[in-house]
Amino acid sequence: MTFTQEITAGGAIMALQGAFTFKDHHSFRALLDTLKTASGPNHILDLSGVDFLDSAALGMLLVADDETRSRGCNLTLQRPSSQIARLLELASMDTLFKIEQ
Amino acid sequence: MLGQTRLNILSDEPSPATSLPAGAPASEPAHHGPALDLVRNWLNLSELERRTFAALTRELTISSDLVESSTMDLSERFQALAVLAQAQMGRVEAVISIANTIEVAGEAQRVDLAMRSVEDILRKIIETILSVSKHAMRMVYALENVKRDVDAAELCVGEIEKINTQTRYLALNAAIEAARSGSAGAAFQVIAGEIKELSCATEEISRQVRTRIASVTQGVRNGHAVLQEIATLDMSEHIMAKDRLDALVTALIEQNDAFGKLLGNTAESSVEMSKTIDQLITGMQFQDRTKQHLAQVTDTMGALSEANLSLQQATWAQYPGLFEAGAIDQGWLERLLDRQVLGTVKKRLLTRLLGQDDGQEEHAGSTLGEDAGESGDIELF
Repeated sequence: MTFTQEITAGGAIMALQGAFTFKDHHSFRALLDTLKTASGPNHILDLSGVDFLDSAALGMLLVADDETRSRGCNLTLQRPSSQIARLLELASMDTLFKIEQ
Repeated sequence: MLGQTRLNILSDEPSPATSLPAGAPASEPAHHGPALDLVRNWLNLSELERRTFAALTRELTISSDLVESSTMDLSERFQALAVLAQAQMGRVEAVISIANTIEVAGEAQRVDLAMRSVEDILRKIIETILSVSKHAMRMVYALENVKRDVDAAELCVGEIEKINTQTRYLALNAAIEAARSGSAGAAFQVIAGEIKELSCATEEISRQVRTRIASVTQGVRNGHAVLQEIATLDMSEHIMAKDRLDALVTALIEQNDAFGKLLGNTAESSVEMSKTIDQLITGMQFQDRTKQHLAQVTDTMGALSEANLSLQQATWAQYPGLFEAGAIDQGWLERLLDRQVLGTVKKRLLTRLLGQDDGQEEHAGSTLGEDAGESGDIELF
């Protein structure tokens, strides 16, 4: 998985690409560091380029949610594919995250 | 014995003129001949009517008995059918009850609730999977932090060892310089020795710390490896399996609902069937009224027959030669019989109209069997 990031006044916008699995925990740590330091209340993870999520990736998303909540910020998951959206729904993550199409 | 005169009273043919029979009162005027013939014919017809009344009374009794026995038979069969319908209704209700519940650990539980509990269990399993994933990833990051801190501590120990090496060189130099200074350097010699001992102690502590750090590092690496094994167990397939299980549970619930509705409709039909059978049984109980009506008819016909006989006897007593007692016209008899379509009835009617008694007590069962025609068809309809 790779990601690009853009820091705006509203928060960090990070676009993920490829399969997101446990192997990506190092790069996701960099993403977490950005979330910790970026200003702005609303951060966005653009999942439109993600074609696979494993359960470790779901765990990492939950860690990211914890981090942003602990700082009083929001994390929005944007434009997941239908399969990823269904996975998020089955995992009841649509009740934790704001998911935008 | 049949009468000598034939009058076509059952047809439109005019009756022929007849003469007085033998034995007629001789004092009768000659112009009374046609009138006497008419009276004679009326008396013959009266006899035929009397016998017909008797025969028809008998036929009505037979028919009434036949209707009664058939109705009772039908009523008994319908009552048996009602009992079967009631039992069927009970079985359908039992099936509905069984279809709506399943036994779980010895307790009856509604199927839809059981399915919902399966969904709850699946939801909790997924929550657990996610919780494990999240905590595993937190541990991974925490162990990486520990490893980073341990690496930093290892670097610090390296620095301490460098400083200690320099300190030891310093102590060695101090000792050399103290030796050169002779007695004046004795005190420095002592200090150099102390520094050397401190340096040795520091080296020992550094060695122990490095050993411990190596042990911690190994522990962190092992823990990281274990966590990695846990975190890389991809449970997303299990989460997606909930989708299929949800569809399965929904299909089972829908099928169960459809089954329940179908059984409910069957139960309603059974109730309606039972009601209809009850109404049929009630309706057949009105057969008794039919029997009473027929009894009144036969009673009236009996009274008419007695009146006929009484009038005949009175006439015969007064005019013994006017007609022959019991004589009937064969033509009338044939016309009456021609109107009968049931062979058995025709035979009985003939026997009785001829003033004979077959000596048999007809009843419904035998009449039914005897009414079969030559072709073998039942002549009831």
